[in-house]
Amino acid sequence: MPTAVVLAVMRQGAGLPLLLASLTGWFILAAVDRRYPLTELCAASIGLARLWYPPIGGVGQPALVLLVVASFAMALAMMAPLLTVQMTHLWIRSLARRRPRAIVLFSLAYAAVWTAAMTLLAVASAGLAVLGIGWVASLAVAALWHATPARQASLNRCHRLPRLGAFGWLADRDCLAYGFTSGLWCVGACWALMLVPMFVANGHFLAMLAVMIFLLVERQMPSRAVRWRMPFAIYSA
Amino acid sequence: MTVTRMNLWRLGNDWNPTMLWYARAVRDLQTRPITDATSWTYLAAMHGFDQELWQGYGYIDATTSLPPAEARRRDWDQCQHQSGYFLPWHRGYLAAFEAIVRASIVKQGGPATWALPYWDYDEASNPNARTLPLALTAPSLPDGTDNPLATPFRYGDAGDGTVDIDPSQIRLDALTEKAFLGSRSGGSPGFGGVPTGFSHSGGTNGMLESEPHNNVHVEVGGQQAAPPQNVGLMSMPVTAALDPVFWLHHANIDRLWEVWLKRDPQHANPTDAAWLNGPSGSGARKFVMPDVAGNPVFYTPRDMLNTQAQNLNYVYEDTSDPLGGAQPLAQRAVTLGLAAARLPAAVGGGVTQHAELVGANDATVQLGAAPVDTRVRLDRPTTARVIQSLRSLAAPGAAAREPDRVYLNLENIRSESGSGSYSVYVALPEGANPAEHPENLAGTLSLFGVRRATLADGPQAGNGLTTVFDITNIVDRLHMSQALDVEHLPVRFVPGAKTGPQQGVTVGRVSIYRQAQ
Repeated sequence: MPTAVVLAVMRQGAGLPLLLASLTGWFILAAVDRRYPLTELCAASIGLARLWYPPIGGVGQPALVLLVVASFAMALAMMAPLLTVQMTHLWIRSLARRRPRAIVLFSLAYAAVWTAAMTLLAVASAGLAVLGIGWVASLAVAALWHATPARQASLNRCHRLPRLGAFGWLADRDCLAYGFTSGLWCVGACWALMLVPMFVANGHFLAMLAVMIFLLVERQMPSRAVRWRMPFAIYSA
Repeated sequence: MTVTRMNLWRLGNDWNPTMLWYARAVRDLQTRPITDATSWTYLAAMHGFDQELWQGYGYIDATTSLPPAEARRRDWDQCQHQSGYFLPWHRGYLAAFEAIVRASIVKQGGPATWALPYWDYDEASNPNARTLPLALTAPSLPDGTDNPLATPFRYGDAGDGTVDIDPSQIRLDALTEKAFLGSRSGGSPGFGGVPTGFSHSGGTNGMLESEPHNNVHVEVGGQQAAPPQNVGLMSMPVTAALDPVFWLHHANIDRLWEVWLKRDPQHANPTDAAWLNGPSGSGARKFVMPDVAGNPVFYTPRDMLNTQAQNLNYVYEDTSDPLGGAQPLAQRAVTLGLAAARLPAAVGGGVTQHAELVGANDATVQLGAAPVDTRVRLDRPTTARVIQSLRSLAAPGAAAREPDRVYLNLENIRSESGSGSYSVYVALPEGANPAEHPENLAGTLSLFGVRRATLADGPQAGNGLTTVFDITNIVDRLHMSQALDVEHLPVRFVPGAKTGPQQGVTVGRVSIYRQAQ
């Protein structure tokens, strides 16, 4: 069934470009992984703690840059396929000549929010790893968050299609604001699950792929009443 | 045996057998508990259910035992709106209801040929067509018992319980739309709606759904003029099917589907599997109705195409064309001053081209009890493309292609109330009385379904609804009077109903789109 959903998403107008953007993210991640293993970069060891706290043996600024690049790439890889509705909204509601500009402005704001969030999550995961937290504990945290009304409220707001100005700086402002708020709600909905792969030492990429597919299938469902829910039960009313 | 659905008014303004049996059957269904899938309340809840509102109207109370959660999840809150499934889902709904009502009639000794009447509010030869006959309004049946077809929660547009629909609210322009399915690209939303998944509350109204369907709902339901200013049952999807008029209104909408198919050989139902198979994808709910014994029967749009097939088995008394064969292209040719011979030769086929934004207003519009004006700023290069397309047909040796069609989009319509409507005028002359310029009427915006779409955590995520009006004829006239090449086009919202929300109705953006043909 997830395969059918993924295929249905890809058949949408924005599906293929977003799939290509996602693949780009995966390639960057693979490239970073060759230079500096993601398993260390993202946690599952105290590698990142060493990065963040040079006194205990950091590897310097280049590794920090890599961390930010990897955070951006991870957001690009895993979040781009979730944005078909937003991209279609920007495309339809903008003047034809302003469409690329609208998409770039949205993407800049959205990516900035996610890159910052992923960097913080990676650092946090490193700290938690030092404390002995593993993937099972992180999955439990994700399950708890996914059961909360706050998480459902965040997910519902990922479906918002705001008014977009058509002309001038008002149009630019609206696209930036749309990207920024979409990014914030998206982080709110996805942060806990995005944290889990960081604790998976073996099969890091597979865990990321599984999380991405879950989030993609879930995002195709309409918003639901805000209440406590069985975590990960995306088909319940 | 195939039964014939008759015109409500042609049955007579009295207790004719068809309406008398309808009343007796409705009373029977109303005695059944809500846990019975063939009860009045269970069937109405399949369209939509709101526990708080239903308690307010007295259909249930705090002690009422509801059906098991599993059955409610499968059956209730199922109506398809703002969707290309609007027509086929409601056809199945009507057929199930009709069969259950007929079974009750037969059980009571009535005719096995009973069929649901349709309310043709647009019947030109009948001056009373826009009102309701005695059977739906009389307080009692001939035997002196209460009339179950008359509800106190039907307020009409004056809010006093009188139903008399304004003629401007029942325009049948949707019948001239060539494609069944449209798109959400800002252009035509199609005669039957836009492709969606399971859409209990969607985003963009299809043309028939918008006018006359939504308008009639709100005109009949209305809002009580006197305190406590209740909203009528028909004004909201979650209560609409509790009013016996609902079924006669939807029989007419279903009939108009047949009229549309018949009036032009180019009109055809969708043939793509996604529409024919219904929302059967991953995790999607299926369309389901109870049979006369209350057992669930699943169906898809594919099962709803032939009304004379065994599962439906009905025809309409009259499916003649109320527009007398009028074709929009012929009308355009007249407006644009072209000879009939210059009409494009090949159009139709149901292919909907992507649309392109031409302009938009600059802020959210707040609607209320008084008329409100806004201005759509036009993008000069895109407007020039519209003008060029309009001119191209007049050029010697021009290709046989219809010029751009133009659409007014009312985006993100939000309201806490389901009642109320607004007549929307485009390019009214300054200081003009809108009532004297019906040629500038783009359409009527009704708030049916808007309340639910406004809920932040509802299925529409608080985005509200979008309604699209075809304003090609208005734009053609502007072009011919050299008034299209302008900075702004004025748009005016005039409250339609005499009662309705005084505030809290907003239109997120008013925009204009061109769609190449």
